[in-house]
Amino acid sequence: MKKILPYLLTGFILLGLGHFLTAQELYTDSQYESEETIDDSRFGMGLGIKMSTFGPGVEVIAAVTPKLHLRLGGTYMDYTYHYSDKNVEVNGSAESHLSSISLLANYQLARIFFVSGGFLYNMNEIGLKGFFTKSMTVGSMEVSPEKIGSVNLKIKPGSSLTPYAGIGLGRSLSKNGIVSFAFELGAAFHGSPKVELGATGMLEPTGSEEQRQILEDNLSGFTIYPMLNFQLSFRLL
Amino acid sequence: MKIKHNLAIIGSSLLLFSLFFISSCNKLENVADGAKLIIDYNLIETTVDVQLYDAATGDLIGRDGDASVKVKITGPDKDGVMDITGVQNNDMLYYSQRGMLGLALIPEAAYTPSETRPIVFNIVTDLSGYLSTSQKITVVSEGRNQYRINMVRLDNPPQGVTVNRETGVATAIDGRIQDPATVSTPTGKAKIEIPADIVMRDAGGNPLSGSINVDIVHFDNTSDEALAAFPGGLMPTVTRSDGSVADGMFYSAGFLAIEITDASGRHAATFEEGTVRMEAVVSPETYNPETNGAVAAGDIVPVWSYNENTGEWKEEGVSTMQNIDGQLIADFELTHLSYYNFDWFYGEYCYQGAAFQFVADNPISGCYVMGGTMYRQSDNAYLMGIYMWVCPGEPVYTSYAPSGIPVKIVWNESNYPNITIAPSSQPTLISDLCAGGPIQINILNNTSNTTTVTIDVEAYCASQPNVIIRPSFSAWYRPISNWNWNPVAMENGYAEIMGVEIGGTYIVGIYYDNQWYETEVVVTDDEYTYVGIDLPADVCNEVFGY
Repeated sequence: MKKILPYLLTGFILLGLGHFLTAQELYTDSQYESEETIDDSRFGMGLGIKMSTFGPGVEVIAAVTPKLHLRLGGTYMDYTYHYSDKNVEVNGSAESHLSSISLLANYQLARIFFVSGGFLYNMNEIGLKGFFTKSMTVGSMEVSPEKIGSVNLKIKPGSSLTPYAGIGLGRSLSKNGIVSFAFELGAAFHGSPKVELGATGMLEPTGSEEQRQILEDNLSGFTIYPMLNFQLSFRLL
Repeated sequence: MKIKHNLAIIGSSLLLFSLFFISSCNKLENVADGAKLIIDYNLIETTVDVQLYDAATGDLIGRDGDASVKVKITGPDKDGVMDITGVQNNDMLYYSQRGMLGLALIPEAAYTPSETRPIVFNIVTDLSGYLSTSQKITVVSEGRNQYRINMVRLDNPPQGVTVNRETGVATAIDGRIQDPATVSTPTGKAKIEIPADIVMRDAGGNPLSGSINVDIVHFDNTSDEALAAFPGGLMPTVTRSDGSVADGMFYSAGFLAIEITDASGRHAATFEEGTVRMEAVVSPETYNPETNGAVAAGDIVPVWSYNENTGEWKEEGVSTMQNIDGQLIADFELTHLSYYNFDWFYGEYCYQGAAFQFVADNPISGCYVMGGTMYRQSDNAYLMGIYMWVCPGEPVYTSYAPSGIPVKIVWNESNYPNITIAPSSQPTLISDLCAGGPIQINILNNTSNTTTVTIDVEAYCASQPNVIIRPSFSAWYRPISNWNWNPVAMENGYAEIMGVEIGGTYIVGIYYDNQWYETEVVVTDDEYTYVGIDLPADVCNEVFGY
């Protein structure tokens, strides 16, 4: 999975750029249309695929008016990075679980500039785990890795229901064409993150409530999760 | 106009987002600030806390930090013994601090104690000016074990122990004694006769030379104080005359410790071309288990020699009681020098005795030590001191208990102001420690004006301030005006001390890697205090590798 992701991402970007140009061309074709001549009541529907900091996902887009688009989407990605240090016989892993369900509204402020807002059901979770791989000698005692124990850390958003605001270039749904591309920069206001800390064996006190609170306090300022989104959309109606 | 409006919106939006992200990135740099790697040093499952007392004064030896007892671990399971930090010293030598020593068993299957696989070793103590002694330790289950060892100071012995230290009693040339000599204890209860022409050598085979000095120490077998300081205790491991090894119990008829040294400090160990005669007066109150009555002339009593290096006794022969001038006398011809003991040996015992259940009239919140003295009912003779680590609701067992013998336990006055033994349990009579059901001990818990405090102990290395070690072993405390230290169990750095008086000042200490750390605590309403220990660099390096 992790080998495929960079290619997918690159493919999306290249494809998106190509269609961005196409979409802009389409837009350019219609740029001479007077704003007043556009039928503001024209309803449209489309599907989008995206790659974002919440992971890859899909979207259903409804153009309520040419300027106002409603977006219902979802993202999902699991990624695990394994770490090993043979010098100190420590193994570790970092797991990121990124997923969300979003309900957003885009308002096209200018031809290729839009603002976006709404809510995400934020299911992101970052986990860190560290453990020894070999026994340690403490004084005259041989201490097994199980006895030494492990430390587990999980960071979750402070609030699952997360307000979101963003700005973007392009369109989430082409006004007149089929394909459109959008690049979006935004922020999900998830509140102070929640920390779950656990430890086993000799390291068990490391996972105390006091320690957990220290980490949570340190993370309390990290109330924003940045959103970077590349999206390719196809107008169906 | 419209373009300007849009640009203003776009510009404002970008600025706002930039501020959000910059703010977030600043916070991320300090995520782990203040958090520490905390290690619960709870590797050890079985501890053996030893307190070394002066038998006469009842004070911990070196309680002011002015003396340290050298302790050697010997016996069949010595390789499973280490100090409380998990370090096994070279030659199994350890040193007490403030009269206390923290030992533990290596937490491996080979040294996991059980009733079917007791862990047995000896603690052999040595300090200049004191009679070397030992204590046999038998551990039958995991947990905490408390031992008290009484050492006899030669210039201030306890009641029942008499000492004579004579210098220049004879002269030796190339090991050969030139003139006969007799040395007696001040009470005349023991003496040795050194013949002329006997040759004395030390353990290395070197002849003694010059002025000969003699120390002779006699232990009265009818004195509890003397028996409580009996080297090796009265429940020893012995080697019988046929070479077999046995565990069991002594019925003592007296004990002599003899040391002969020359001007160079060489200790006589072996004799050639003659023997040294020792003689002891035996109290007519002495109980002979073979006749089930008082000892009498003609009774035969085995003679045992003591190996102070291993803490074990060896059967050397027998002595026949003689009535000389109205006194019962036991004597023996010595071919080597050691401690000698006239004892009948009784080999019936069990590794784990009956369960003791301590029942309090009011609930007790923590664990505590109950101490007492065990006597044989048949002759009211001292058997052993017992120290039990009592936790509410948990049974306590005696280890290595005499079997088939009625005993009684006289409980010591409690070191805890809130705890006393109920009259119904003082003394506690037991028909057989190795048979029967649980033995209930009733105690009274007076909770007025006492409280429970929590001590929080953390150890750390200066080189790694973000790594905290929370010890799990014994801590000790005492009122500032009292030298009776009470042990407390510490787990994950927390120790609960119950029965302390509100407003009182206490000293709390721990023994850690041959060092003693203590702090003064005033008990207040907050019921909590913190003790931080900055570990020496060598300890950090030895135990944790950094």
